[in-house]
Amino acid sequence: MNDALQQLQQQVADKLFLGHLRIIVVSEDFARQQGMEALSDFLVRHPEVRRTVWVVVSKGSASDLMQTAPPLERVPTVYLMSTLDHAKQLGKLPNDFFGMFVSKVAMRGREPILPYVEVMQKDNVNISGLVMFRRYRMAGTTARPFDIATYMLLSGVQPGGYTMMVQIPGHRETVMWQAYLRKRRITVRIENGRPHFTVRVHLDGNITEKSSEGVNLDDPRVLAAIDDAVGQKLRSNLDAFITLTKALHTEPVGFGEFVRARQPGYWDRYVQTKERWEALYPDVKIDFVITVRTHRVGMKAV
Amino acid sequence: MGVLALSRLAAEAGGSGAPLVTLLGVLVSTGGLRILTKLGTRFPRESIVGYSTRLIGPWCAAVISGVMVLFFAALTALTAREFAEVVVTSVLTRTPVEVTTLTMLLLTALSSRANMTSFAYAHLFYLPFVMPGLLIVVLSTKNGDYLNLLPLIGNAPQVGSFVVGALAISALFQGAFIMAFVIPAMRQPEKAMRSVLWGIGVAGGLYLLIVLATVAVFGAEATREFLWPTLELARMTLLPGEVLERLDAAFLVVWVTAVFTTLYSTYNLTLRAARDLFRMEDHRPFALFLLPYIMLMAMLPTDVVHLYLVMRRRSRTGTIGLGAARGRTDDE
Repeated sequence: MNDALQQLQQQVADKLFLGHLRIIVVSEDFARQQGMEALSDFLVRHPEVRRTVWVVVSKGSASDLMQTAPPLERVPTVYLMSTLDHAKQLGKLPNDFFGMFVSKVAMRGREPILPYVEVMQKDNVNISGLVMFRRYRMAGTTARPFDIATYMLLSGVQPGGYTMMVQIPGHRETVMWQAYLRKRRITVRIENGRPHFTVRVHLDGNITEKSSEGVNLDDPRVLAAIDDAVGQKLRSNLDAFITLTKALHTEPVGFGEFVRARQPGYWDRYVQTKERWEALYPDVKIDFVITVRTHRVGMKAV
Repeated sequence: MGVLALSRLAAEAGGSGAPLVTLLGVLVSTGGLRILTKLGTRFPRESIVGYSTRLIGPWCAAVISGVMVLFFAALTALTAREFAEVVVTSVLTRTPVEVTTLTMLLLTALSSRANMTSFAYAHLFYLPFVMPGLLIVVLSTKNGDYLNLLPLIGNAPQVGSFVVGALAISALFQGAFIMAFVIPAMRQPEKAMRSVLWGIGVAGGLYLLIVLATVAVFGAEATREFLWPTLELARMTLLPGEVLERLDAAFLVVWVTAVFTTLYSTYNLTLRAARDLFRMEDHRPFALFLLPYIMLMAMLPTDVVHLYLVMRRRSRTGTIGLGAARGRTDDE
């Protein structure tokens, strides 16, 4: 990494200054084959580099992503950066900047994640998911758009920002339901020599859209049914996410940290290392207790 | 070793039990300082060199005092060098390390010519400068996770490593030995104990908060990987509203004053111990006389890794040495 920068310095007149570095783009191939180890080491050692710099993984080559910007934007980097910053503020992306990556990669019961960004047609970019790691090497990406929300819910990141479409039970109509607050509480106990997690998940949200007049939202039973439907959808999302991470042998949520922190006796005796925790992870049981509450329906009465 | 490496020491010794290690270290220092202060209030008109002559005989006392002079001279030198290494690594990368070291030592030497009253007022003046340290701790809690602080005694805790860590942290308070020379200058020496407890309460409390914040934000594992975790904490922390996106520059400014007061104390300690050892009236002639030797000592470590090795050895000998001296003087 340092060598690359030296090469670059040979080609530019002014001294390179990394204090204003705001975003680093790494291609998927690099993250999979080289891994982030050397890059991360360089960045931690360097006194100018901010800990709050974004590191993102691009689908395809990194240079394509860095050149992408809508015609009105003068500096492509600033466009990319503000895309990420705004996504974070809207609750659509966890605040996992470089410093977080460094902390999580060192933790024994948790793996880091980075945003996965791809170039769409027409000069714009899309945050299409999260890249999951095993230590410094990319293990895979999240499969579906909603997986970012699921990850954020499981990690307890605020604010909630995702919208989901649910069908009202017993009706043909659908509503759009937007979460604004996430809560999660994870407890762990040891059963038959294996950690058993109970994840209590709670979502607060609002209804933002209804597909037709066929159903009246002014009915508490309808709202309760919507809450149920949201909960069911959430459950399938959570299960899918856990299945995916188990298949990849990577653990971005940090269940292992709960074992380390809450059941130190078990951890010290049977786990101790990240490798062993990840070998154990596919066999642990994770139960969900889901509650959902719809608070508001917008400025329309029915 | 200063506050910058504090959390690393604690996390190396205790993992997530780092705050507990720190607390133990503070308690150990409190114990040691209480003995020292008690002794000092028993001989309110004399410094430690004076009353040790009466307690353990002139020869023994001279040897111990001589070692003390050397010891605190080394402490001053290493503190100055550590300061210079941090500055050269993080901000003034093109400044030779000799220049930063010498600037700081020169400043200390010149201000050390002042009398005890000015010495005390200088410390009082710099006291409010701990506030930005507190600010960083408070602001950084946003990124913190209490899970990183559990279990409170650390994973796979080992008594041995806890004790070593606690002693290493108590060594950070070695500069407080200056009390042995402050007491004779006090108007009401009987109040010495109260001021000592206050002092260690403020300093120890801040240390504990810094370790808590650092480990909560980074986790014990990553804290071990940073050379100066406290500085990293300042780099991670944003001022709300993104007025300042990194606080490390602001932190370093404040930290210079902290280093200065430390150097000021240990340098004075060296000078006053030397004065009493050679039975001179005034400590001032030593101020510039000792400077080249301390500068030389500061330049002896070859690199930053070597520096920390030397510092660790020095702090260990110091803890054992000072502990033994306190024990011995207290017995007799």
